[in-house]
Amino acid sequence: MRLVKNGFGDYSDEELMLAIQQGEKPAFNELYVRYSDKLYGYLLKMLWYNEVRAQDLLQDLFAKIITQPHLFDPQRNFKTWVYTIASNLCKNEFKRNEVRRGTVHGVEQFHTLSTDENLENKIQENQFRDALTEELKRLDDKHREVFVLKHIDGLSIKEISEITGANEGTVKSRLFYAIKKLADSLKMFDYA
Amino acid sequence: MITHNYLAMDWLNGNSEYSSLNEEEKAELSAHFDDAASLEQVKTLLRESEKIMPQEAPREVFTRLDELFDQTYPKPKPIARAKNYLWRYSLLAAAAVVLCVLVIYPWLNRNPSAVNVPQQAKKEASISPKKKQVVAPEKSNQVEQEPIIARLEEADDQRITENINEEAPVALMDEEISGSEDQAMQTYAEDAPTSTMAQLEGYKASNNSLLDEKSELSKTMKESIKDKSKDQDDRQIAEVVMLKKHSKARARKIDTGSMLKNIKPVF
Repeated sequence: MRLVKNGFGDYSDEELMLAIQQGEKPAFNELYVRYSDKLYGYLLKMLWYNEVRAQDLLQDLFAKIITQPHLFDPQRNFKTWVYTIASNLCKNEFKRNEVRRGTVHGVEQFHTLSTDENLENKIQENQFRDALTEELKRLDDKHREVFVLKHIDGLSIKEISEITGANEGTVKSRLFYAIKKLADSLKMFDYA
Repeated sequence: MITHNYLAMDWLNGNSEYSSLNEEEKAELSAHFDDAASLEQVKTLLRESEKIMPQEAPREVFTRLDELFDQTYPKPKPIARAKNYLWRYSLLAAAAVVLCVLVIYPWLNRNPSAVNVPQQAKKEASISPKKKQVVAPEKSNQVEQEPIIARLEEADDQRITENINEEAPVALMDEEISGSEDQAMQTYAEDAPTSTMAQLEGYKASNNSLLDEKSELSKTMKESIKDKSKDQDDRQIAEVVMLKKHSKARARKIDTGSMLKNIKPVF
């Protein structure tokens, strides 16, 4: 029985949300542990590794979960719901900062904010990872979003479709374009 | 021909190796990839991308959210909580005491006949109507008590009449004496006209003395009987009064029991 077990470790995301509505703090802590790192990584990648903005958006997202848990429909999948919120927060952020999606200017602007080491040193430390990070920054928002959701956060095409609001065919098409572009850019690396 | 990118994406998501593809499939994929090496490169890129560990969320974000949670769902103060508990416990204790009193009081003042009323009712229900008629006077205590008092009063009357009847021997003695006197007078008058008057006078005198003794005796007897009967009367009256009081008290107790029984639980 659930009542006998300690904590909320065995609860599903949706059950945790219901517990949060009852003011159960441990339920919120459990949910934060499950999603904070993934969402932070997602926000970081979407905002060109601007850590300050990524932290702010992460806080806004979880604040919404605390203050307005009733907005969540228990019939829905929590994972897609929370990523949808994160995606919308990113879109609002793009509009607010008048950042043109995928523009070199935007990338360069955030690049200078997030990295203070030169690219060569990073490549030396973890060549492939850094290169991929840099190439992701150069991708436009839609292609980067689907790539991050699929290959870094491990969501399914269906889930990405729900989060982005695009149909599954469009998601696959965007994903293929992103991969092809990244593969072309990272040809120099012999990671096989 | 692969006309849509997402078909190539399906292939990339699969586990099939390039070498496992047939010529037709390779020809279709060649529209998107130059050669097998570029395909494998893409697949490797995806595998490596999945190895990228997610970034760790900063601790200060959690601290701020923790504070926000406490503000949104404030918990009651511990002192107030303790007071509340104390109040609840005292209320519960009082309720328990009242309940105990309600349970014990009827038990202490219980009347066996009153307690057995439901059982009697059950018995009556089981008895046939004929028997019921016979048993009917025993239906309740109150009904039973009235004949008892009547019987006691009857017994009282009987005793009084008995006491009065004790005077009968004195009356008989009077009759005997007066009868014997008359007879003697007649015999003396008829049979002994020659007998001496002195004898007659002596007889009369002795007779008178006897009469006096008798009258004194009867007086003392009457007085003693009267005193006796008076004492008995007083005792009897006292007994009757006591019985009446007792019966009244019984009736009251029965009423109390039934009233307590009729009390409905408040909790």
